[in-house]
Amino acid sequence: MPRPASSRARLAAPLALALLLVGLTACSADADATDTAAAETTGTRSIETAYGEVDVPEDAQRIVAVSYDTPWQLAAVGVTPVAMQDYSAYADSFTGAQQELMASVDTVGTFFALNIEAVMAAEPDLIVGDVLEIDEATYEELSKIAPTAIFEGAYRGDWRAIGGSIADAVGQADEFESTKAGYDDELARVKDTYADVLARPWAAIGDGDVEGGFSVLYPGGSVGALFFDDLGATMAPSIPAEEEGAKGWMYISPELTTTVLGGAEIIVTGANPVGELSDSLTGTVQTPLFTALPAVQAGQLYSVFSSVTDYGSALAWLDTLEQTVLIPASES
Amino acid sequence: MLILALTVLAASIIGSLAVGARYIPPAEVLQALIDAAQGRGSGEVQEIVVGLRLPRAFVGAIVGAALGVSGALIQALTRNPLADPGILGINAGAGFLVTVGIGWFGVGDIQGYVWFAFAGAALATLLVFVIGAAGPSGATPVRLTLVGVALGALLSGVSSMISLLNPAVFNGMRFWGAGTLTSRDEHVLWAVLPFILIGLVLAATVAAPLNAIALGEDLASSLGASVVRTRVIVIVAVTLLAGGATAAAGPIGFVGLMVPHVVRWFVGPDQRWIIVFTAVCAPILLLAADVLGRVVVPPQEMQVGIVTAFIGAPVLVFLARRRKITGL
Repeated sequence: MPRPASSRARLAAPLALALLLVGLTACSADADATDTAAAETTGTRSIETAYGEVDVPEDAQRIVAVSYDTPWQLAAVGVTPVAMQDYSAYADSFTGAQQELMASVDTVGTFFALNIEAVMAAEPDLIVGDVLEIDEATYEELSKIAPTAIFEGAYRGDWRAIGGSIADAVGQADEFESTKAGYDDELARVKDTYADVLARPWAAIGDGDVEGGFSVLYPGGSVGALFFDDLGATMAPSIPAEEEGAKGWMYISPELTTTVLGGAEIIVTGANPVGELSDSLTGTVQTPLFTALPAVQAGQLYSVFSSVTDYGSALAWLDTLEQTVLIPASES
Repeated sequence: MLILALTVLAASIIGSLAVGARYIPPAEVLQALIDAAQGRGSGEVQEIVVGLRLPRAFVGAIVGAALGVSGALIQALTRNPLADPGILGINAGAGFLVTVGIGWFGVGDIQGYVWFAFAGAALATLLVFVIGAAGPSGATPVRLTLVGVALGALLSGVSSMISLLNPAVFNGMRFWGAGTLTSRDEHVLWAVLPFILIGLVLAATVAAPLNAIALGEDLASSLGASVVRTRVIVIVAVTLLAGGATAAAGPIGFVGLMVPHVVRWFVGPDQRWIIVFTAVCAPILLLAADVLGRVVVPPQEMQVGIVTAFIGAPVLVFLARRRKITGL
């Protein structure tokens, strides 16, 4: 028959547990103290984000990019994220340098399908992105992992505003200003050199809503802003005014091809990094109404890779544009 | 009443030629058609009227007839007044193989979509019939309907998954999946016309047996109608009609459901008249919806599949509230 435990023995177990808890708590306190010390060593600063003020580390080492353009905006200011979205399904639409970065960095899900657990596994000390993909609920989740800085621009893909805020969040505001100055200088030179070409009526087009159709691009969108805001190209008067609340592009009925594009002397289309058109646009530019356009008849239809996400890629775009559009157009 | 319907159909075709996103005076439209008939003429108006609107009107007419008659046949076969081509998984089958065509075979234009869509529609129908016919009770209307709904859901789900994982497929399906007559030229028309014409002929041959089957299968057999043969012919006809229509214009809803339904209110339960009137009235709806879509949001166009849904749903609800639903 087992002997009943004595009162001393009955007290021993809770006492041991209490001592263990005290010990653990002390260790935890030590760890917190260590964290605090580390935070004090690196320091934090407060920045304004789309979801309010956030304290970010002054010298973040493990940055995770959770939005589509963010890795390129970081790379443009000399920062390589430890994890970013999985772009493998879209590989053809990226340049060689971008593909190299994609291959060397861990992934945290795909476009609009962020994997929170993968973000956690990347052990970030700072998470950055834009509001297009990170809503407030997702922001709250991410904030439990690490300081999260999410930014908003004036329009979808507003890389100037968002890129500047992200550069500031990672402590690279000076580098951002430097690349911006480089772009502005080059832009000024191009605008001055090709002022006569830019004064001619332009149209920028992209894919339409249906096969054989097209969309005209306006300054309210990221690509249209490059041509008409930055470069200062003159929009053809035949292009209808952009509807209020539009997203920077408007689909045009194929019947109105000549009506809308007939007044343009130069037509530019989006293209992939090697200058190829999409299947849809390839079909569009071969239709009889399109080939009859004055600009096409004069050989003034150009395809330009116009995926710009930061001042670095904007500078590359400017160079491509000069070689593929502005020089040939100035000679015509 | 048939003459009236034919007159309205003619007016719809004329309207499809005369009205568009770009205003062209009727005299110029007529001159462009006369010039084209005489093998001369060129220029923007000629290209818009003869190159864009004329094939679009013919494709709309043939697709409308195909969708409507296939809906009438399916409603008669399944004895379900709310059935349409989608219930047998035909649209989903077409969409599935178009998805495969874009994703794995690099198909990038309408001419390519046509054949994949048609093959998908045929494959889906074959699967529904084979699976539905398995077992002792054979291919009863209820079994075919259940198998069609299940297969349609499966294929739609797989298509969606592929589209979401592959941006190229997503982009391609964006053009095909909305249901539109824009940019459908004579090549598309000639590609699907033979199949649709055969389907319409087959539909005409089964109209009388379907009347007998409506009395009950035992009575139909005693009246000399072959139930199995009729079902097979209906399935083949529906595959040709709905497959051809979906291949040409993408998935367009409501036409195959609404038109036979409305026609039955006016001509009664005789399948011979239902099929004839549906073949005339369904193109009227589709062409009217297409013309409306061209002018309602200038300088853009609204896809006809969206307009038929906007027109079809309230009209069907309105009529259903006013008239007693005709049984099958």
